[in-house]
Amino acid sequence: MKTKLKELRARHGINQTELAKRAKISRQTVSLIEREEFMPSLLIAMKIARVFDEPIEEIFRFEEEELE
Amino acid sequence: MKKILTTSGKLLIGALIGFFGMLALLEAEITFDFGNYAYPASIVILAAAAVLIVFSLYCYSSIRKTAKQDLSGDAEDAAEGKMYRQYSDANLSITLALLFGLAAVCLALLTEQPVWTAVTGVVLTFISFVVSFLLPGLMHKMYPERNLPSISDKDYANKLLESSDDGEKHVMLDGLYKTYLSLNSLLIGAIILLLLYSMVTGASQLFGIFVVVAILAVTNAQYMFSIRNK
Repeated sequence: MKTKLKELRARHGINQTELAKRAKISRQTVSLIEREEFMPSLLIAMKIARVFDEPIEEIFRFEEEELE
Repeated sequence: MKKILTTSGKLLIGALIGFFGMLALLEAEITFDFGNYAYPASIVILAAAAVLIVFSLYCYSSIRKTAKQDLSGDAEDAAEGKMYRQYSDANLSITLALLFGLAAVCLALLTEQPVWTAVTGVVLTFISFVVSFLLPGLMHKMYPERNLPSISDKDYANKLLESSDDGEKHVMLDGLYKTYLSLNSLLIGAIILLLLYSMVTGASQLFGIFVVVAILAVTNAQYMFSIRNK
């Protein structure tokens, strides 16, 4: 899974801590997702998507092979 | 097939080394008197416990100071990361200090060391115990916006786990699973070591061996039942 989370954060000018507070998750989780070391649950993905007002699939992208 | 042969070869070599090593150890008349080393060992263990307590308190004070700062942007993320690492370091240090304190008390009592070493060991163990209860309170300073349980809450550990999000649980699971695997190997190694020590020195460690076996049986049963019943 690839994510545009870091890019989106930079575009909105918010740091990891701020995103974590707004999405009500931990900064550690934000950091893990950005480093692509952890695939978020649907709930966390939804919370993050709401902060940026973007659809989930715009933030998290799967390779075609991963979906087969 | 090749892999099986390689593994069999390694096992055979290991068994031969173990067999001849054991023969050599049984032939050599080894005696190990802890009494000769107990006093300097007590001093080293007590000093290590004291240093670890001081380090833990330093981390405690540093986290409190950092948590009060009003930061933003990357500096805020860096400070949060630093506090998280210091919190982990403080917890590890205080756990080690507690264990060293206990080890020093055992050493003092079992090898008839000067009373002051036993008293210092008890004091250091007590301080470590108190600090280990102070540390969780720091989480409220680090994450004031989170609804974290208080250390005085009934069932604190379970409530803390419930308040962790998926990312934090993922990190904990990774660490705990690795710990579970290494604990099993280390305790089996400890049984072998205690057996060798008993055979070589003639001082039976059978009680210790049974305690380790009981710990292994209980922890493995606990883990297996918890995953089996899900």
